Amino acid sequence: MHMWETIKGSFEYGHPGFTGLSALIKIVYLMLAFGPGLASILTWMERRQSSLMQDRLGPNRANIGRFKAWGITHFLADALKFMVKEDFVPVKAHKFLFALAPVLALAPALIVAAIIPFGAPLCWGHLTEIVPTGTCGQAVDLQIARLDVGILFYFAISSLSVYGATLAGWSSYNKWAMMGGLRASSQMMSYEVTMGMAVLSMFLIYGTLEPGAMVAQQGYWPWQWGIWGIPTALSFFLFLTAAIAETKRTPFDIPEGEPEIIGYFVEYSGLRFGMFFLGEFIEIVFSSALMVTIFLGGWHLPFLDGLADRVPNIAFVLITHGAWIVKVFLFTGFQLLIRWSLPRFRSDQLMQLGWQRLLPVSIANVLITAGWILYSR
Amino acid sequence: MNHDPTATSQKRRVVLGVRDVGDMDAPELPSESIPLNMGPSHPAMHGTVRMVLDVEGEKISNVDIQIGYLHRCFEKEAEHATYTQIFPYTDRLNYISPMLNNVGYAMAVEKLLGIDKKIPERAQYIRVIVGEMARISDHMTCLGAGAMELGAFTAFLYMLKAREWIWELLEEVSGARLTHSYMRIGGVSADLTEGFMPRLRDILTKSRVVLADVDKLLTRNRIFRDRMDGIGIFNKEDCAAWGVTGPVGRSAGLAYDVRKDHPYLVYDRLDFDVPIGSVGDNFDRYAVRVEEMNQSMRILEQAMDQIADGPVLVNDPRIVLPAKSETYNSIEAMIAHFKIIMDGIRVPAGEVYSFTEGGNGELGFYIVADGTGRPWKCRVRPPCVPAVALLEKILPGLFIADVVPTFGMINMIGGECDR
Amino acid sequence: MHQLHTQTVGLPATITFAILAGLTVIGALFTITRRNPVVAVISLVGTFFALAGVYASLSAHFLAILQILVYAGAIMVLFIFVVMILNRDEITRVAARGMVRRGLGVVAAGYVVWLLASVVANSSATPLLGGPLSEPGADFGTVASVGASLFTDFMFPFEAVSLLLLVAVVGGLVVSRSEKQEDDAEETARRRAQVATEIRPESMVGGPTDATANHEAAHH
Repeated sequence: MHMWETIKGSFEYGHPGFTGLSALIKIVYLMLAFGPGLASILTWMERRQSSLMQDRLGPNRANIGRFKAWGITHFLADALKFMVKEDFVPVKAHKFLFALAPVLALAPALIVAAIIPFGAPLCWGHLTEIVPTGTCGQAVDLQIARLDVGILFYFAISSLSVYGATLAGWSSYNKWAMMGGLRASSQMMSYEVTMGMAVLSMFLIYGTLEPGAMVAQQGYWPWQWGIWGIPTALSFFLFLTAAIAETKRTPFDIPEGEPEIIGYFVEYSGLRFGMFFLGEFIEIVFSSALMVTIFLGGWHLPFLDGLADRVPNIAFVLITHGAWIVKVFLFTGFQLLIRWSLPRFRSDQLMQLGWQRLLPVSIANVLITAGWILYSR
Repeated sequence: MNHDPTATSQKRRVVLGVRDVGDMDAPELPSESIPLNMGPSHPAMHGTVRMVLDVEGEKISNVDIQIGYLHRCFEKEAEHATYTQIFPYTDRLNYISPMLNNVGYAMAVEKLLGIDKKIPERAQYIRVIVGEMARISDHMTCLGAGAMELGAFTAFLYMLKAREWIWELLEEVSGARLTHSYMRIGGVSADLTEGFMPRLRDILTKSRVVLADVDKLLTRNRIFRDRMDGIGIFNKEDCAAWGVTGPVGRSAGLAYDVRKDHPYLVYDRLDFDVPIGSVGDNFDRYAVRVEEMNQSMRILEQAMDQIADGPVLVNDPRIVLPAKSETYNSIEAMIAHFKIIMDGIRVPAGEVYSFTEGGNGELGFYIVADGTGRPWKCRVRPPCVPAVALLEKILPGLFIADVVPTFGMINMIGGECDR
Repeated sequence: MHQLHTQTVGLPATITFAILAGLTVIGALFTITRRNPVVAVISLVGTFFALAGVYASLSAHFLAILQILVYAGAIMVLFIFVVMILNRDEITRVAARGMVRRGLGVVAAGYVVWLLASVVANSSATPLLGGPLSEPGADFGTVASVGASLFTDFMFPFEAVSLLLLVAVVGGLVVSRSEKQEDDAEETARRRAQVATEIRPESMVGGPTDATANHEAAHH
């Protein structure tokens, strides 16, 4: 009887069971399905898109029977390969840290998704009715956690992913890996500062740290989005640059630098390497999602103002969620585009760029934004 | 190195005006350079070189370059092969411009035979044409791979695309995409195929577009320039002393090009310029190679205009195999064929050093003949060995990441370097 | 103590606290008992993480995030950075040198322990731990409230600490800057200047180049 009450309670708005269940569904969907799913597709897209750019065929071999779909099934072949490959551990490696490092690389990349709003609020109990914005009494946010600290949570968790790279480098008992680990830790530390400074001016403009509130402040029209404006466009550029550096991709792929030092995961194989690999792409997905949230209007579907007043709530939620997915997808595509257009920095040039160019600019940006806000009040 | 920690710390005390208070502060942490083994199985070492670096942090303090991982006994093998059988071996010297090796070797033997003035003009033009095509493909590979090692993957694939057009045409002419063995002593194995000229003109047009694309991707790219400018500076004196020639030597200001200074084949009838660098850094080597490709295209266009019909092999039955129809239908031709195949071309006793401009510089063949059909000694002067040797002087002081573009722009080819 | 907690916060919160506090203590013990410095640092990261969990369970979300962001995400990364490049054998274990300073350290640590113990022992007498805990206000521990108190009530200590950090940064720069690096920097600057004076082609495809003229002059 007690159990039945709990199950029944899970469908009643406001009941602890309901809160828990909805949170669980959101976590499973965003962190275990959407993130890794899109990341897997990105591993294919990276190859397919680059092959289009480079005038070559690209992946076209992993077909399932007659199902070709431009080689999209390559990521399944990759997954299979990762699973059946030998799980090699160097004899002198520190076994525990060697095993811990891929987990530390992958887990923060997933956890940061907790604060990202991925659609308009769902109105429980009124799904098929037209619910104008802000009039719903039983709103379920399409956001795993609505934290007051908001984006700081993203920074705090993503700053932990540096341990993955660093420990992988140290525990492998390999000088090249060690060098990769050192490069990774110094690079990620340096660019976190710029990233934080870049987003600081956005905090000032929005007056909040909470991503859901940020999205609500942006409108349906693209000129109502966060990116519109001189200080914010600069923040966007700085944030994007730092985010690419954080995900360690070309031109900032110095910790990997295949032809130079091979990278901190040189000794990893099989599924453990797969975790690093997937972790990098999941980082791209959620850093793109964060940038979409702060700068590109979040789940707002461009040009369709007042849609909430015309279609049923469930349709509205699905449409906004679709808009969010498309935005994130296009933005990840843009990030992939950069990789195939630019060469790699040298580590000292990277430090110079981070500390001597981007950081002063981002600090000046914060000061100018603050002054502007003070003046316009 | 010249870094005495105690001396520095005392000097610093003076500079800062800090009172010396004995051993209050801890002694400096002992630091030592780390020996780091780069290669032979390292992506930037082309699988054929091993560099033992002493690094302080990421800075190289000392380097020991060890070559020889692709040693295939070319010179010893050549002593056991007939003069004609050596052609396939030369294909595998500089395996990204095999035609140039073919030409160089053929000319050395012809000089020894004394027929170097009798090579038909058409054969000479063909040698120039396929040689310059090979030079373009060589430079394309070098620049593309160099860019790829810096992370510019797209430029690499553009270059390879253009290189593939050239190789397809060379395959059409010679029958082999990479190991052409197209030259013969006394000329070339077969005349150019029908439609060769229009196809080559078409390739040149398309290649210019590709080069322009790559130029847009790289030449003014800030990151690329930062990685190339002022890195790995070779000076002219060192290049002259070490014998560094070719694009590397020219980038340092050493104005030496065998085609210009000791013209061979029909190069004296062709108008072309030799680009010279002014700084001698990696970017100059890049720029020199790009300009050399442009000049090679100029040469190709002139050669295509000037080439006339005619035989492609000398008319000398002691050197050239009889025609297949003769071989199968007359006993004399059959015997001649047998003798040349089994005993080889009889080269009079003597020695020769013949040199041409290879993809990487002066490619020399030193051959000692003892009157039989096989050389007594066949020595190659590979153009990239001096440059690799000079690297030991260039690399200290640079970062590990600088090894990649510097080594890439040397264009060290294992097959040629290790033989 | 336990009774006091169950009175106000209920069983789930107590269990959470027990787990987090346990992890904190275990992490701290690992930190001081592990021989391998990297493992010790990672244990300390774990301690900080669990501590952040304790803060979060006390509704101090901002503090919890800062704990992770600053300690686990930044300071400990620097620790690990340094520990990684140290050769393990070079770390001296126990030396007779500097016993006086060590003794002072032990005394200071003992004082801290005594202070904490006395607070816990007199918990009923202190205002914070004494009475039953009431629900914190809605703005407790938010970014806005912490920020407001930092920039109003605690303005002076806040600025003083930031000044201290600035001094430390400058000091670190001075100490780390050696003569050799300055020489290297000069050398690099000289090279850069040399390269910068050279006129380089903007684009090299098509059109005549200056470079070719050089050779003509040298040879003809």
